[in-house]
Amino acid sequence: MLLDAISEVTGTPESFTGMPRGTRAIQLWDNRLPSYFLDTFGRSERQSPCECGSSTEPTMAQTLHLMNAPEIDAKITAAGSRVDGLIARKATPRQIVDELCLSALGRPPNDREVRAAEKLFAGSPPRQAAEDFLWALLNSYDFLFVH
Amino acid sequence: MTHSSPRTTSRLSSYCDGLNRREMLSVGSLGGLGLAELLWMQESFAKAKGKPVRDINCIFLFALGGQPHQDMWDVKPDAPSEIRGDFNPISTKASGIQISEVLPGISTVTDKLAIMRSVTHVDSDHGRGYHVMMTGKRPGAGDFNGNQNNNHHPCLGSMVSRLGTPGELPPYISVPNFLNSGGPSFLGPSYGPFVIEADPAAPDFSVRDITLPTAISTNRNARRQAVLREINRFERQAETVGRSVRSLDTFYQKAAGLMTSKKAKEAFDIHRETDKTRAEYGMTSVGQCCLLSRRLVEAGCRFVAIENGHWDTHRKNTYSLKDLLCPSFDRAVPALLNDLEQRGMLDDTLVVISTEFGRTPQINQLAGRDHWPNVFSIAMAGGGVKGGQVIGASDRRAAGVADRPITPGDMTATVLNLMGIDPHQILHTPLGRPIPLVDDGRPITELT
Repeated sequence: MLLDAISEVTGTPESFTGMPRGTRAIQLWDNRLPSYFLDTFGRSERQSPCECGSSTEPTMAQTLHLMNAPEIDAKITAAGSRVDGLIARKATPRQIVDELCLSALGRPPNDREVRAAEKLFAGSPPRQAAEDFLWALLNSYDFLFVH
Repeated sequence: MTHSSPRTTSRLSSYCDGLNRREMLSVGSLGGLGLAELLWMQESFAKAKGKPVRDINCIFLFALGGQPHQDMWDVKPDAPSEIRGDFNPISTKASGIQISEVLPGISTVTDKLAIMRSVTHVDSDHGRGYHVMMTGKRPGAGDFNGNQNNNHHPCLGSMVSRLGTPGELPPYISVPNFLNSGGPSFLGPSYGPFVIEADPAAPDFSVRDITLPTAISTNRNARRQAVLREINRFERQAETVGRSVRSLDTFYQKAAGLMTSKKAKEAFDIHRETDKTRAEYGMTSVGQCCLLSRRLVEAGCRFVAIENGHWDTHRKNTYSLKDLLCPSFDRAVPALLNDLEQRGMLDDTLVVISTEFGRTPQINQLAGRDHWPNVFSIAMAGGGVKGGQVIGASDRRAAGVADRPITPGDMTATVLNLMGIDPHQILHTPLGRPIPLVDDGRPITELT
């Protein structure tokens, strides 16, 4: 579910071996397809019909994966990604922040998020600032636990 | 009633000599604790408090599947052939100590090893045996064999993570994967292991995700982290924040620490070792896990758990040991002990070789041996352990304890005690339920 959300928010779909691009993790019929993300974050062993098969407590490896994994970074920066699209249509910083918050958190940005974003856009080129802001959203409590 | 109640936080607190029978019973395992041992334990803690504490770290090698004690550590040449098996005993570096000929490498380092031949418990199932040997405590009811964490009680590594002094690296690391009984239980995910999900023997081995993506500069990362802190800063009240969020908080700090620590990154990079050193340990999973463990401990990790397997020799026991399992194990262990000694680290590094249980005395019809927790062997070295000794004994068929039974609780208490952690202290679950770290076991005094 989290992997699907990250794909959705970044605008870059995940590829699973042998499945068409754009296939969502929740659509996987076979729980043995290789995916480091799913292994790290816990997937159901599908040995019993209850939810107890996948762990819900966070681990250090998960934190590191979200922060640093080349795969996540690629999703944020890929051609055709959400950020790429926003930059291509020359969206203003405020429009970028609104759309990223809306897609990641399902709500408009609050004051703190707007202030944090303003600092980023003041200090870096728009593409970089947008990527950094999205990175922070994907690692935020709100995104990970509320959505 | 004139006597003070023995309900104190630590069972090591001094007791008066007037416990009545009921109080004696109410303190459980303490009833069997001899005065000499009590004094010894008090003295060792007093010592630890008095002088600058020397941190003892631990490399805990778990031989998953159940090592056949009678074919490795405790050979019975005089037993009938269907019990004896195919291996002969050989003399070793320590005079008077014989082990199996299938361990020629380890025979050269027995002067550093204490072999315990009378370990015993009652759980003949892998998951339960794993649990009791990693935690010192029998698990409650349930299925323990799924491929996932099964802890009902914190494992040794999590106890050390919670109670030991931290270094620059995560205090508890497991390699080359998560150990099923290596979880933190009620201590919470902050005290779980940092798991290296990769085999250090692989040519392209690296620890995932501890370095920034290539395009991201250190400055840019600092900006990102600052924004993240900013947007995460909501007004949080202790009661409303779940422990998942709280542990994520500590992970953020630790992750940021790891990503910026040069020392940590270097420790994880096994390619910095010379080919000669790597070859000495053997280019096998267990060999390179041992070498990586030494690097991690050297850089400040307190507890490394290694899983090595699979020792579950239900069939073709002789072939499995001789051709598949022992060669890599028998190369890695002496290489580790010698390397630690040469680097002056052996006195500060406790090496434990543990397993779920031993194997049946009688060889079965598939030429294998089945599960046998009644008696089996484990070994320890370094960290203050006196080498060149055998503690306890099994009977002449290696089927039962003949002398000095050692329980998993004793072993757990021993490791904690050697690492300077009071094994009898009481911790509380998030709901406030008091749980002793080790509730049934005492340090093996002969070891030191």
